[in-house]
Amino acid sequence: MSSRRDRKLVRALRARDEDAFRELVNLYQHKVFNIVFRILNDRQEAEDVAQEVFITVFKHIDQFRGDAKFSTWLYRIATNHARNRIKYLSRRARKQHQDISDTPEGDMEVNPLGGAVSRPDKQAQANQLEEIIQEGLSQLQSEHREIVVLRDIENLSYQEISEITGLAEGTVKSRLFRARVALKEFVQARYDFQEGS
Amino acid sequence: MTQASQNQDQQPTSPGLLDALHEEQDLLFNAYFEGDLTAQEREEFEAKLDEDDGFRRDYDEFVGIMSGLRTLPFEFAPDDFVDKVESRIRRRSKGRFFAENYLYTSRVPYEVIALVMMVVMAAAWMMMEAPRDSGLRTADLTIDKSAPRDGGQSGEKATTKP
Repeated sequence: MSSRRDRKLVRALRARDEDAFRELVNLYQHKVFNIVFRILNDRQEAEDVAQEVFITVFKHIDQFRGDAKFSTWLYRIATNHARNRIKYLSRRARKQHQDISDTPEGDMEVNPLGGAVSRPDKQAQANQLEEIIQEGLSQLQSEHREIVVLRDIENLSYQEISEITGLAEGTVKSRLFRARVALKEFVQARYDFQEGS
Repeated sequence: MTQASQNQDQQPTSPGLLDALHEEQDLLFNAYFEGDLTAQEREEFEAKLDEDDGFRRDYDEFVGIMSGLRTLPFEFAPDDFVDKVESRIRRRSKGRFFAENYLYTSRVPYEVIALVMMVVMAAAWMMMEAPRDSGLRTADLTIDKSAPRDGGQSGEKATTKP
């Protein structure tokens, strides 16, 4: 979206123009949803969070100063919402884990995003690199995960990622490296590249 | 890089040194993948890829994972996403967020109201004026002279005619 179009859209949003809001959501819904989904790895949560992202944009459009690209501001809101949701789900999962720790299923590994993590041998049997990568992605620390999503999935520049996350570019690169290494180790432990499964 | 490959050739290695070598290799893979190596470093790296099958295999796996990330299927938002967001905004704000647009799309038809008011006022005025023309009754206070002049006690009375 060009900056002129950005400005026009922002002006209309500030005037609480419903058509402008529809245009905004139509333009960015899939991008925002994909980012949030890849961070959360759960469609239902992703849909809820993506809706909250657009509501936040609409409520706080007056706070957009235009220093950065509108999309950068939007993705910052999206990653913040996703990060907060992960924290919330982690807290909830910990509580549930405590509640069920006395039950026979208590030794099951708990994924903060819902469901149980399959054990490595089952992952290897899954025989799908894509699934293993997505699983590995969801196992990364949240601050690492969002950088991998922004860089390796959304293909954003380091400068954009720096503006979105509020981190220095050096920190972004460092975290990206750590995240890639962790992901590589996760995948290599579960996928045999020689046999292709 | 050269130092790393030389170190790897020296066997056996302690676990700590092995970790350091792995990390150095990962750093190299990452830097090459990102295009951060100098021309000379890049040449050395590519020569190592040609010479060392294990090194090549490790790098191919790294690239395979990176490619796998980039080719993860794009996840689309549901079809009714826009409507859901709008209804959520309306519900939470009780319609205030889209106030201007609401006034524009469903504003009161002032022109029609003004016309109706004019007609009503005209009708009201006409109804108020109407008794003066046709409905007003006047009193006839003429005295009937044929009546006895006994002070009215014997039956003199004023009559009114419609």
